[in-house]
Amino acid sequence: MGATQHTTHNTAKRPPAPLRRLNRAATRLRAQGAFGFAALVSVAIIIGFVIFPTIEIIAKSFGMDGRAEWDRLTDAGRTFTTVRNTIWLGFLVGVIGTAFGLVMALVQVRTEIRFKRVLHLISLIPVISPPFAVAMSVLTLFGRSGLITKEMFGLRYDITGLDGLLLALSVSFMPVAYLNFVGMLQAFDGALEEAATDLGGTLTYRFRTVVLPLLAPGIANSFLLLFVSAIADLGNAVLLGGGYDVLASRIYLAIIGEFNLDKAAVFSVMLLVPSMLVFAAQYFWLRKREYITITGKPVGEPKPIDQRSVLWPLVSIATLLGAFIVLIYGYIVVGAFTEVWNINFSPTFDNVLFVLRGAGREALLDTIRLAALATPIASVAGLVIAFVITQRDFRGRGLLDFASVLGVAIPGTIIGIGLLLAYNEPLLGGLIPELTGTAAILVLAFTIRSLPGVVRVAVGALNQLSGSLEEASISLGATPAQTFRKIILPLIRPAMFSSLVWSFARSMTSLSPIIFLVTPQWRIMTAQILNEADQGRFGNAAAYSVVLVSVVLAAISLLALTTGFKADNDSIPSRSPR
Amino acid sequence: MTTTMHLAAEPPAASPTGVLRVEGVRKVFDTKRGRHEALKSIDLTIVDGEFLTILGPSGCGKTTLLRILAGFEDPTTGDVLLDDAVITDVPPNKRPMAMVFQSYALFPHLTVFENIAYGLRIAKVPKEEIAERVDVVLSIMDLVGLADRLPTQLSGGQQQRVALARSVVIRPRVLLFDEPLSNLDARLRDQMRSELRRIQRQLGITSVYVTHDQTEAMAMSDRIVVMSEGRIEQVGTPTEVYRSPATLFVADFIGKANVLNATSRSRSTAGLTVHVLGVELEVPDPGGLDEDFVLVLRPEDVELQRFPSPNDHSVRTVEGRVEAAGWVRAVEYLGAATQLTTELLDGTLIESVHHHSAHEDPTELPGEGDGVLAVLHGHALRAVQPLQP
Repeated sequence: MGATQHTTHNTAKRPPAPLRRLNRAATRLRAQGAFGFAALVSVAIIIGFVIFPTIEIIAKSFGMDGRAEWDRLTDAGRTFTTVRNTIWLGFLVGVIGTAFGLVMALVQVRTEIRFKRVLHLISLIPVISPPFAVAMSVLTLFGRSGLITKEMFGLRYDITGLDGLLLALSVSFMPVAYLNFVGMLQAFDGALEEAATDLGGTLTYRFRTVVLPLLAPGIANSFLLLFVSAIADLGNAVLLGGGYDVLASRIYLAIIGEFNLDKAAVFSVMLLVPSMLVFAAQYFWLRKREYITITGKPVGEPKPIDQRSVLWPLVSIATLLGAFIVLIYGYIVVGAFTEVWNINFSPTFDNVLFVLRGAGREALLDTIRLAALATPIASVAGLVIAFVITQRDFRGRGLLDFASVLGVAIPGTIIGIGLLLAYNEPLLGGLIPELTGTAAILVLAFTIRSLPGVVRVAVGALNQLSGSLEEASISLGATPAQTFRKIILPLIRPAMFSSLVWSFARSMTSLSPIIFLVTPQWRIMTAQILNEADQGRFGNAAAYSVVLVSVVLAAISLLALTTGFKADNDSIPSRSPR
Repeated sequence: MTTTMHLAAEPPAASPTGVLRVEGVRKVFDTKRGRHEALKSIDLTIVDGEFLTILGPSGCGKTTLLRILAGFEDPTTGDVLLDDAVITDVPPNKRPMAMVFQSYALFPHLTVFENIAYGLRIAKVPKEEIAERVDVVLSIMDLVGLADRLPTQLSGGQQQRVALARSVVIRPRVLLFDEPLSNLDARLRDQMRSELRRIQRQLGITSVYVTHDQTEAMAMSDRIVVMSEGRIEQVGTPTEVYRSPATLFVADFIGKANVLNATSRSRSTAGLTVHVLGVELEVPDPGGLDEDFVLVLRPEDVELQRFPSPNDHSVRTVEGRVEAAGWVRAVEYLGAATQLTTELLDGTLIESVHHHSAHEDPTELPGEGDGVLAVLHGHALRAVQPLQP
């Protein structure tokens, strides 16, 4: 360091005022240069890859052919039923999935049963598998010729339709609610409940008057997130929907069956509206409330639930649910290793070998390659955006923050179709080449889907850092860039690594954003699974699913080994919607 | 002692005007509710080697002023000068100052050694010299043996010392403290207070210390700057601000004060003749007063005498002091002293403190309901401007 400019003059030398003002402005601009660049990049990413494609869809739906579709579809009674079905499905999944998640979380945090660790791992299985993997299992177990419904009970029951969708979606998205509640319950201030106990409250009374009101924002939050996820889900809707029309499956049919992009665009806009409304409600109304209710350090550990009349039902439901998840996912493994799933149970490696050595090999390698490419891109972009959002107050910060998590609200199908429409010709005078049909557009789709989660994690990690750490570093002579490298980056690294794993898992397992972007050159496993299942080749589909989950698990272990990061509760960010 | 000499800041060029100067600094924040003027034209000179405390209630602008010195905030107008050079536009990392934070702000992923070496490594000091200099501060700060610990493995007091070590090791021209002791418990705070002062004296580093704790300010400072609502109320030694408060705010904020309404009668070389409690009395003239003023009196300057029948006697002046009768309304025994509240016949409440010594019986003091005569010495009364509008 050392002393700076020493002057022997008694009076300080000062340049004239206008010159000084100019000088000061220049200094500030230089100090904000890096920041300004980062802000510009963030805005470019979000406008280019989230907002522009969405606008393209809307524009398409209101184009000439689109308007005709609007007229035709709004006249049709089937369209009305589809929209009503979609909303009803979202509502029911929101309620059931949230209830499941809350029960599982209560058992996890507030009881001391011995196998709760196992239940925790079981609850996370859906996170690392493609959401519609459940659909196949559900069909083979409870379908028209289901193992349980027909073979065991001789029922003439077919689960396809609303029943099947509810079951598959509630189980698939339950972890979102579960992780949300685990986080909340753990952060709970035990002193609050103790105070209520001291005042003579019974357990159920305490739960109703103290715990529930504090959890209310969380409940509403996970309901809304599940709602958005459920109405956007494509794979289950296609495989399990049967005669139960929802918007997602009609978009799929419009494109794959009729090659009618205008119709798809119109359905997309119908899907976009409820998604955005619900998301806006969650963002503007609930997020703030959640932060107010649960802040600060927990003072006391809440006592475990010991009242039997409460404990037993909770544990029973959780155990049944856990067993059910094991059954469903276990049965996929069975399907992967048997001759003909549900009919001929003789063990075989043919299906798995088909994926590893045969026709599936390309898809496996392509998917890993592209997901692995998208992961670091999403991490860096997410970190830049998070940095811009947290660094300082500036005009438009709220908008950037909102836009950065918008990717969650926009259904994957819409992102996919949007990218397809937006980049099917060179843009900006050839600066951006045509991307449709290339690997780049797939990487882009993966990146956009991972981005909101990474941004949330990074924002959370950055917000945890006290501003004085940064100032301390600067005060000791470090430049802002040095401070970022030596202080901020090392401190947020654990969070960033976990988000890395998470976004890889997400890319590997996502279907809806890429289903319309895959080409024969670039095959993606989830699309292959849907394809195989659609063709009735469930064995191959199951094998794909098993291989895919194994790859994700291997990636998690690999990262855990190389970075010393713990594959624990924290490995999946609790507050990030899937 | 030789090691400590080694650590001391390089002797600055003789600069009688002070190391650090603040000239006409204003700071206006744009908030959602409009513009807030946090600092209203501050002029201040900080002398080489001194320990200067900026004292004031929360929201008085003291932290803003400190952050302007550090460079974390830009003044809206005005300048900061270091050794006669304008540094207003110099970014904080280029200023030869180091700040000690309220939260310590130790880097949690770095060991004690790495925390302390941080500034030196940034400045690209040779490795051997870093080791040597860190060792020296470790021993001064009583941190020997803790070099390899992480901050989380240290007690509050140790963390505090690491924060200080990290700042002094880079030999800053000025050390800035932002309420560094407020996170410690009372006993440790007292201990760290004298520790900090000892180290500062030993190293002779010019220090600016911000606090809202008047005891801390009194105990540690060479000079105190009392601030209120973005203004400097008074600058002076601890004795000056306590004995001769310039304003009612200072008198009230530092220690306790009885406030008596008074009006001026006449001025002379001997002092100011005032009308107070219905009688006339001569008090010292601080000069520069306008018509509107009040008298303040420290509780320890009030003398109480037992006086069985207050009703016979209201107020009179005897040889430059006022004797006013009243009843004791409250007695609080505080251990080292007893605090009494007396209500004079006209309803005025007078607080007094009686310090105990070994050879007296505290039970001999007047009790609640007893009649007393409060003796207020004219020379102990101080005329001050009332609170600024």
